[in-house]
Order: sequence, then C-alpha cells, then structure tokens
Amino acid sequence: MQEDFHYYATYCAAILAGYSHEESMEICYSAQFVDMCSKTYLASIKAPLSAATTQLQLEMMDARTDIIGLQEITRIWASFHFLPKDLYAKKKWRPKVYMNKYRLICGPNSDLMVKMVELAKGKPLQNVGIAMHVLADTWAHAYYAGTPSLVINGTTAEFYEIVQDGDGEKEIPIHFRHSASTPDDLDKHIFTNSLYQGNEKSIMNLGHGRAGHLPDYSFAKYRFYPAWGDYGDIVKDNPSDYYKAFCQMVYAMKYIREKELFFEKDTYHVPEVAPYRKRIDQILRKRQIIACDDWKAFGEELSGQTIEDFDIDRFKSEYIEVAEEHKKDTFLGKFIDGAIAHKAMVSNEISSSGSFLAGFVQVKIHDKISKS
Amino acid sequence: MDDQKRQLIKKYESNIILSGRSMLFFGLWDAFKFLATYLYGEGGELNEDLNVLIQAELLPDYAEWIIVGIVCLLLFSFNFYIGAKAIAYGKGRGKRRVWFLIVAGILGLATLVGIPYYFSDIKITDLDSVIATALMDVAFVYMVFDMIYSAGRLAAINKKRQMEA
Amino acid sequence: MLAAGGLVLFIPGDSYLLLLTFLALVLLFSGINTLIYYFTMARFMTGGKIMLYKGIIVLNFSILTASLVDVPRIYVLMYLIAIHAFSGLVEILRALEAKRYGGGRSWHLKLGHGLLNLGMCILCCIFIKHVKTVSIIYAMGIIYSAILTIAAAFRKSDLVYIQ
Repeated sequence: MQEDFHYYATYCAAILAGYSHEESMEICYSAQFVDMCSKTYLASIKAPLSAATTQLQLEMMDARTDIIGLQEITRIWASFHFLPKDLYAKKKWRPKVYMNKYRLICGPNSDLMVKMVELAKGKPLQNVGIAMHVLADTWAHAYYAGTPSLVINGTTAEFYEIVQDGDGEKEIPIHFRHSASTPDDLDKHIFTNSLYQGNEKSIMNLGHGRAGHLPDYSFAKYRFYPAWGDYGDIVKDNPSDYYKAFCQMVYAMKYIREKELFFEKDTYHVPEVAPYRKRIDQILRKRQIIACDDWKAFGEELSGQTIEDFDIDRFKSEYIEVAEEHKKDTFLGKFIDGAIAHKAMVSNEISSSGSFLAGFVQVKIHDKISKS
Repeated sequence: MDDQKRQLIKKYESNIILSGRSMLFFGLWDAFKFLATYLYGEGGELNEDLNVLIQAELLPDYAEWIIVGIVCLLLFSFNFYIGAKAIAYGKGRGKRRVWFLIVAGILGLATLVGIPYYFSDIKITDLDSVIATALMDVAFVYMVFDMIYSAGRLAAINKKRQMEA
Repeated sequence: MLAAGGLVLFIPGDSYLLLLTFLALVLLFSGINTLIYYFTMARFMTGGKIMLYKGIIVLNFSILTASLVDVPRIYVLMYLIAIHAFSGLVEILRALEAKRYGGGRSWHLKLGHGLLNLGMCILCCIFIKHVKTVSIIYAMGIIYSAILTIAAAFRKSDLVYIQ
C-alpha cells in the first residue's frame, strides 16, 4: 500500500475507532513511517539499525544474497510488509526447502495478525501504528512472500485488468514495461514491473515486483497466475480488499482501545464505518495513482482538524537532541522499540515453525535501547 | 468449468508452448550438428563427393558452403515451423490442427531409434562428444513426447467439456 | 575475460585447453545446479519446466565443451565463435526488447555490444583459413567485451525495483 492508505486512511480509521486527533496523528505517522525507516535513516540519527522496517532501493542493490543477507531481507519484509498467512501450511509432494518459502506467503486474517493486534494492546501508539501498517499490507500484498523467491513471487506474463463494462465486467490485457522513470499509464493499462530474473534468490524476486504497483492501487481489480498456484489464476479485487482492510483496522483499534472484548478474524461489520461506506467506496474505486487528497479531505471532515502532511524528519531533532537515557521516551524511541519487538516476534514465530529463512531470534526484554 | 480442469488446461497449454519454443533451439542444434559432422566426422563422404564435383569443375569452389548453408537453413526452418505451429496451438490461435504433432512424433521416433546407433563402433576418444549428442537427443525426444502427451490430454479435456456442455 | 583474451593473444598454444576446461567446469556446475533447482523447487512452479530444459542444455554444452580438447584448434575456435555469435544475438534481442519497453538509455550499450560480438564472429568466419588472424580477432573481441562490461558496471543505470 501507499501513503494514501497507510497515512491518511489510517488516520480516518483511528478517528472512527474513537481516538483523538493527536492520537490519530501519532498512529498514522507511525504507520507511514514503517515505509521510511531504513538503515540509512537510522544510521543518520544514530539509532539501532536492527529497528529497520524497510530497505531502500540502494540498500537492496547492495544487499548480499547469501544466507545472512537473505535472512536479513526476510526478517524485514516478512515482518512488516508481507506477514505470513499460514506458517504451518501443508502441500503434498513438496520438499521442505520449497515449503519453507511457501509458508511465508502473505494473506489476511492470519493467526500472526491476531497475535500482533493482541500484543499492541496496552502499548504505545507507535505500536498501534506499526500494527495497522502490517494489517493493511496483509490485504494489499496477499499472495506474495517477503523473501526473494522465483518459485513463489514469480508470475506468468499474463495479467488482465477487470473493468466495468456496462452492467458487467470485461478483461483487458495489461502490458508491462521496465522503465523506472515513466509513470504508469492507467488509461492504456500500461504499468511498470521488475524484469524477469531466472535466479531464485535475486532481489528482483522479492515481494510483488513482477506485478508492479498493481497491488498498491486501490482501484485495481485484476487476474494473474502466480508461480505457486499450480497453473491456477487469482482474481485480486483491491476495492473490496481495501474496504475490508479499512474496516478491520477500525475493529482492531477499537479492540486495542478496549471498546471490543475480542479481536476475531474475518470481522468487517463495523457500525462506525457503515455510514461512510459509499464515500470510502468512491475513494477506493477512483482510478488514480495516489488517493492522498481524497483520503485527507475525508479525514479532515471526520475530525474537523487539519491533517499535517507526512514529514519524515518531524521527530528527528527530538530524538537526536535528547540524552541517551531518555531516547526511549521520544516518539522515534517508542517507534524503534515497537519495531524491534514486532520484528522479533514475527522472526521468532517463523523460526519456531521450522524455517530458518528469518534466522534465529532470541527475544530479550531490555530496559535500555542497545545500539546494534 | 471447475478450477481443476482450468488448471489442467493451462498446464498443458503451457507445456505445448514451452515445447514449441524449445523446438526453435533444437533447430539450431540440428543445424550445428550437421555442420560439425560435415566438417569433422561422418560428413566426410558428402565432403568427398562435393570435392570430386568441384575438382571436375562441375560446381564452383564455394558450392560446398552454399549447399551446407542451405541444408543448415532447411534443418532450422523445419524445426522453426513446427515450433511456431506448436506455440500457436498452445495459445489457441486459429484452428487447432494436429499435423505438426504427427511430424514431430515421427521426428521424435526417428531420433529415439537412432540413439543406440551412436554407441555402436565408437572410439574411446569420441565417447564424450557422443554422450553429449545422445543426451541432447534424449532431451529432444522427451520434449516431443511431452508435447504430444500434453496435446492429447488437452484434446481429451476439451472433448469432455463439450460433451458436458 | 581480459585474462582470457590476453591468454589467447600471448600464449596461443595451450590457452584454448585452459579456456575450454574452465568453460566446461563452469557450465557443468551451472547445469547441475539448475537441475537440482528444478527437482527441488521449479517443478512446482507455473512454467517451471523451462528450468529442466535449461539444465539439460547447459549440462550438454559442458560435456560438449569438454569433448573439444582433442579437436584441431580451428574447430575449437569455430565453437567459441559460435557461442559468441549466439550471445551477441541474444544481447541484440534484449537491447531491442529494452528499447521497446522503455528501458532508459542502457539499450544503446547492449545493442553496441551485441553488434560487436556478431561483427567479430563474421570477421572470424571470413578469415577462417588463417588461424592466427582468427585468434587475434577473437582475442581482441573478448578483450573489448571485457572492457565494455567493466565500463557498464560503473555506469548509472535505471533499476526498476518495486517497493
């Protein structure tokens, strides 16, 4: 997902869940910051590099693809952007080396997602923001894994966009190109994707690169053939999925605020969202590359307050200038703690399932932030 | 049509397309094999016959290269044509005619029958190149029969669908 | 590649054997790796059968390359020239594909490299009867390829990476 959903839509969801404007700003900032908190940024503020929640393009180009490098990549991407759906999935006749990667396929309504939301209860708002980012991404990035793998993240060249045609729908073939600088042409159904790489562990085979930005466009409904699908096709209905993601975020945050007793999977009927269904649907289905303006307008209507634009350096000076022993009480300090805890939890779950793709993780509780 | 049938159809179509593309490569290989055997191997007889004709001035000096070139081109084109037909068949373009399968089957059978003959009267010094050639021919035979099998299964599924419809 | 070119230029005698042995070993490991990858992973992948064919073909070429050590030098050269012609053709096709899909300006270098490879092969075929000439042309061709490859490594290039 993009800034429109992680920042502005998360703000809207937080307001509907009952948080105040200031609390919602902290949550949505944390949610969007997950896409910004790279090792490069952490190094610039002298923060623990183990708290990295993403990797920049340049970092990926320099990333090692030996076992250590792959574990580092998997820890970050599987924890924050491609939360595994079923770490104990079974499939006949597949060897363990294949199943280790298959089990990292992301999807919504997983046990891990429920555990993540439950763990966010009673924690700082930064943890809530991180959880909302991960939850939203389980919908957008479903069917892809947060580890470089051709046999999982590969696709065939056939992609079809499903568009309205009168009362029904029709399929239009999507054409992909490999140009970093040219924006996607929504009218001609021409999108950018990453080049085919026959190497299993190439970083080009990480996540949804072969589908380009299609998973991140809320308006897109499309059909494709994933490499793991045994020649079966998948129809990805983003408008429907994004709406469910939004409802689930509201429900999750209500649970975290103790307005709900339980947090259960597959629950989307949220009374607070129902009156705005049509409005949200309009935003989601509008054919545009980014919907920040629409979500921002909606959020400001809901709260009656102005939503500040995202600024990556907003809390930087606070973190840098404060003494070492007080860093954990700053905004970024709490975010860093939350990120490390979440990464450790997910990596621990992956290694407990018998896969060492995310390495070994020992979960220790520290009072002080230790530099890595 | 249920999901499983759709998946099988997709799988067999994909196999046929892949086999068709592989035919293009094997066409290149056949041309290369002919060239190699002509220059250094059993093509010696053809070489001698051409040399006789050239020396008798019945053919120009460069004739042997033209003839060799034409044969290589024919070998490649033949495989290319079958491969192109297979790709079109797999993609469902035009009418699904099966004659190319028959031709490919004959080629495959001929190749299969010829493999043991590589190993008769071989010298120990030639063993490695013979193994390489035989392996390539085994791969070709597998590819052809995979293409025929996939086409057969595809036809059976489509027939069953028509009967159910 | 620089070392290989130098070897062919300055030690024309046994350099082909070393080149062929090295090439055969590289192809052997690559072929075996690809086959292992197919049987453990790629056979479960949509369209994964291509890995099987790729592995068999690469393995075959490794055996074929190893078999050429007892063949007259001219045929070895022809084999190496054919490999370069093939890779030149592939490079040209990739450059045209990159141009078609808007791949920035990197396609110019690729196209030039591919054309050079093909041109070198054609020159070698023309002078095929003069083995020493062919050796020099071939050696200069791979030295130039090596220089282009090193230069390309330092060039800024567009990397399409979807985050």
